[in-house]
Amino acid sequence: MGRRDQWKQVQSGIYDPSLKARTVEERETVPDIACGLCKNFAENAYASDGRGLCRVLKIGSDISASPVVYVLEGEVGYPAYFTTNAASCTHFERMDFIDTDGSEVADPNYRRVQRQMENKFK
Amino acid sequence: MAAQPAKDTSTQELEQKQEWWWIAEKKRSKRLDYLRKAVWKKGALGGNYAPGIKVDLEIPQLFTNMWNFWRYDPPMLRRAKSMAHVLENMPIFITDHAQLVGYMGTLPHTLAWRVDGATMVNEELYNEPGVMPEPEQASLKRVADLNAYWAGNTAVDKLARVLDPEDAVKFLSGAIGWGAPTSAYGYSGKDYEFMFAQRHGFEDILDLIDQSIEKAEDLTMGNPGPEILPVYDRIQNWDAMKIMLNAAIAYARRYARLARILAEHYETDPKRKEELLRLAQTCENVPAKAPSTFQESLQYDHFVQILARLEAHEGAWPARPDYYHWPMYEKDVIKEKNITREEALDLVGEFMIRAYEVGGFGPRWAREGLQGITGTWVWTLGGVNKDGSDACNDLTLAFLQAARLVRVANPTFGFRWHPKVRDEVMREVFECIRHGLGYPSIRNDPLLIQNAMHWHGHPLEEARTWVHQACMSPCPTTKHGVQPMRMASATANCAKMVEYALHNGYDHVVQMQMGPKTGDARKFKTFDELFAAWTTQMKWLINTLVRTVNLGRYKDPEFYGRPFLSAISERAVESGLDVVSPVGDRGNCWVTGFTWVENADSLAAVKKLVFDEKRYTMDDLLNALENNWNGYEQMRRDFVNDAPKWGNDDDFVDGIMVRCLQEVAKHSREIKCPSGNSWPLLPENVSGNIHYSSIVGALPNGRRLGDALYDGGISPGPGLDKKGPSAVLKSCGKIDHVGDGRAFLLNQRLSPSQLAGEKGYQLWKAYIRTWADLGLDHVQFNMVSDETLRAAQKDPEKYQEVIVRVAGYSAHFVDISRKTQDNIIQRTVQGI
Amino acid sequence: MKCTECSFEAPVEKFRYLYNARIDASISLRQCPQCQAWLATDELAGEATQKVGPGEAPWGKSAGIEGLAEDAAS
Ligand code: SF4
Ligand SMILES: [Zn+2]
Repeated sequence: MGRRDQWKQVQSGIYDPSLKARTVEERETVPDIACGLCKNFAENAYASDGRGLCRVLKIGSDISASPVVYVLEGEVGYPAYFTTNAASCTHFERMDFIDTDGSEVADPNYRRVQRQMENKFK
Repeated sequence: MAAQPAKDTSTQELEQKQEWWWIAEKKRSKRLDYLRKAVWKKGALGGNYAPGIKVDLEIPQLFTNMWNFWRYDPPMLRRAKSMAHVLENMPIFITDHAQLVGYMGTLPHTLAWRVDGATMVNEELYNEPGVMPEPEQASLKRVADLNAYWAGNTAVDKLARVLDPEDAVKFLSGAIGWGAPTSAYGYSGKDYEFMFAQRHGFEDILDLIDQSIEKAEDLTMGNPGPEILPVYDRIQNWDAMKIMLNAAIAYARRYARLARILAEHYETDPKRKEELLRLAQTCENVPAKAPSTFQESLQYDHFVQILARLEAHEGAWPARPDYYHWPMYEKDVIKEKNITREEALDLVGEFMIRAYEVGGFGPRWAREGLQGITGTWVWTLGGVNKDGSDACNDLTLAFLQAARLVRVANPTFGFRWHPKVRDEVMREVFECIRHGLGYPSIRNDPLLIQNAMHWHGHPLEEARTWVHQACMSPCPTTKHGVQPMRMASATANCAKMVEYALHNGYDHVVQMQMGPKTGDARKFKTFDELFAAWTTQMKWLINTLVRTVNLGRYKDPEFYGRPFLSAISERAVESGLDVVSPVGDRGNCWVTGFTWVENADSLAAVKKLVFDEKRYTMDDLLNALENNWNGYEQMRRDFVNDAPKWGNDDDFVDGIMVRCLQEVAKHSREIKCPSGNSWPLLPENVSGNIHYSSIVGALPNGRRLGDALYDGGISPGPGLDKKGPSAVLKSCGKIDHVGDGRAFLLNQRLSPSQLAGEKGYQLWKAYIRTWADLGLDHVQFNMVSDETLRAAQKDPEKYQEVIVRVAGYSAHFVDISRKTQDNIIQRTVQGI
Repeated sequence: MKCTECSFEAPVEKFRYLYNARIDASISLRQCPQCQAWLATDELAGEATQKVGPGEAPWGKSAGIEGLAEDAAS
């Protein structure tokens, strides 16, 4: 794959999910095992809608496929959302402490400020 | 307000305690007091909106309905028709006691939502805590539907499909810069010369447009040929401008009608009745006609600002109110004495409050980077006239006095200092600073005029009209000088330059190969190898951002477009081109350099401790950085304390700072904006130094991932300027403030007790003289003691009104996050 | 390191690093993952010294040329 095609793939991995029409219910659900609850998830600080990259899996992985595809080498992380169902991901590691306080500033490692996350931990 | 001052506390006592906000309350008129307290605070508290602030869903809904209906129209016409529908149908309100009207939401506590700007902002809005109007479930459904309509069709989506995908991904990683490359979220200069100096009301502009169309029709109805083909599109654009102007006049007249109804049917107080009738008359006259009273002048301006902000989420507020409103002020207050000075002061105060009220929903990065405010409303005061004579007047004084009465954190002022400014004006400037407002910032007018000519080739007369385009960058207000669309996305997170030079272009925070692979730093044998890597990363970073912005600008008429802004800009009215088209724009671009100074301090530390003294190896350093200095505390302290730091008049590090700037300046000439002009660097931070604190990794200046970055563009690291204020000025004076970049932000904290009284003023004035002699272009001051700031942290309710200078803007101290607060307290208090 | 509030004990990196009190000293703020208290931490000794509440700055004046300006002296 050429440079442009490779980056096209990354781009659509990161941006296409937000283009999908979803019901309010789908939008409101944070699965009990979700990327947003995992230590390896790094939230994007530019779009704080809960998209981010996995720090372990790389682009080309797919945790919703069966069987799950794990790519561990690469120059860009695997794009995920805080609501991505991670039930099949064997790399899931639950965070002991999630900061949902939006009155401080971006912290990709610890902070998840979406309303749904706040509600989950209320 | 929760806390009340003891009724019998004298002004003198309050002055001694530096509780200036109580003095303001005592001194301002009843009207100003009411209006100031009636405003809803739209700036975010840290990154969250204040309780009670809700997103306005009515306007996006009205807009979307019509946008969908007119789907076969070209972009500018489609936007104009959709906007006209909004202006006709959005609910409007008049605040009690107000003499000026216009808001960009349907209720005073609402935030405007730019629904067609960016899908990711829309998604963020959906997920945002606290901002949905009640009932929440119904609002969520409505937002989900609007988001579904716009998904993939916003201005940013359209651009993202055209950008190189690698640039798009890296830009949107959030690591190297911010802003959105579309005029949906731009900083829009206003052609004040056209509206105010040339006295064009909207009806006058409509006549001009009709003349342009007539001329164009001579072509389109004449002999066929290739030259007439673009003219058809221009006629459509003129039609769009006309729709906007007519809709704007009608919108203002809705206020006139409302004011008249209130006066005639509801108001019992005869004085207020009279005011409402005057307000009605004002809104009938402006913006249809050029203003003929001071109130009309302010109202005209405010309508323009609101209409522009209904059209796009404008992040800045370039303005020069003492200059453009002076003719009507002079007429009403000085020559004809139609109103008293006190009455004028009330209007000026309210004019500031109406701007303070303005707020739109911004994505979190913008809220965190501009904590406490909703945009950088930096108004320009002072300066010179086109012929070089002093432009300060009694209205300059009135703005400075009104600022101390209303004490809003936004707008703030940037004062164009020059040697001819009278002492009386300087005293008023100083009083604002002494009262802890953090503004005006002081700008070196002669130097910045020279700078505008040097970098962008503005002719002298035009350069002299300059206003702050955002926090810092000068931009003329003339036909070809005005910049209708500056996008914040040429804002570089510069600390990444040195970070990537040390990590072979890899970003350990976002886990991505970002910059070019400039080599394993563990193997660097000389400082020059490191510096070469730094230069490559610097160029890559700036190029990536500028490519994005250039394309955004070029494509904007197609992807977004500004019919209203075009209609108030002479060059668009004349050409029929959307004003956001780069055609006819001389070019006034700059790269905002956030987190800049870390480069100099970090490079100096490596040069000294690794390459010169060989106390540590590159291996040691890289190991320490990769571990975020954990387990390397003694070494970290050596890198802080034993390496020279910027701001101490030390040639070792100052030389590196200047060398870095000169590398950038050279590159600034190599890269071009769509008009073919240069892209100089402008180092400054808003609260971007805090937003990026957990995004920039550990650095050789001794900071860890998580620590705030330095606060200014060329301010020394907090607490690292140990040699006093003249050493700071001397270091900064080694930079050529004309040739090395566009402008350089310097924050200084001064001691309020030292600067008390007449002696304090004289000390400060002498300081400013030295600052000017050393050729600096900017300085701004915090003059609030640690004691007050810590007390405010402890008891925020009691200190709601304490204002501080954050960086290119001011904010109420209680509205900024604890990390930001501590960063301000960390700054060195300089005794001068 | 041991949390002064809830006695949670773990290596210092397990406490969330917040930010420094002043870059030229070894004091930082960290957050206990268990009770979430903000802790003043001596980075050289790897010890939590106390909880930090609103308005508190146990390290004294944050930074600066103490003594040069009147307000910086206290
Ligand atoms: S759950 Fe799996 S994919 Fe998701 S962040 Fe964790 S490790 Fe990565
Ligand atoms: Zn604890």
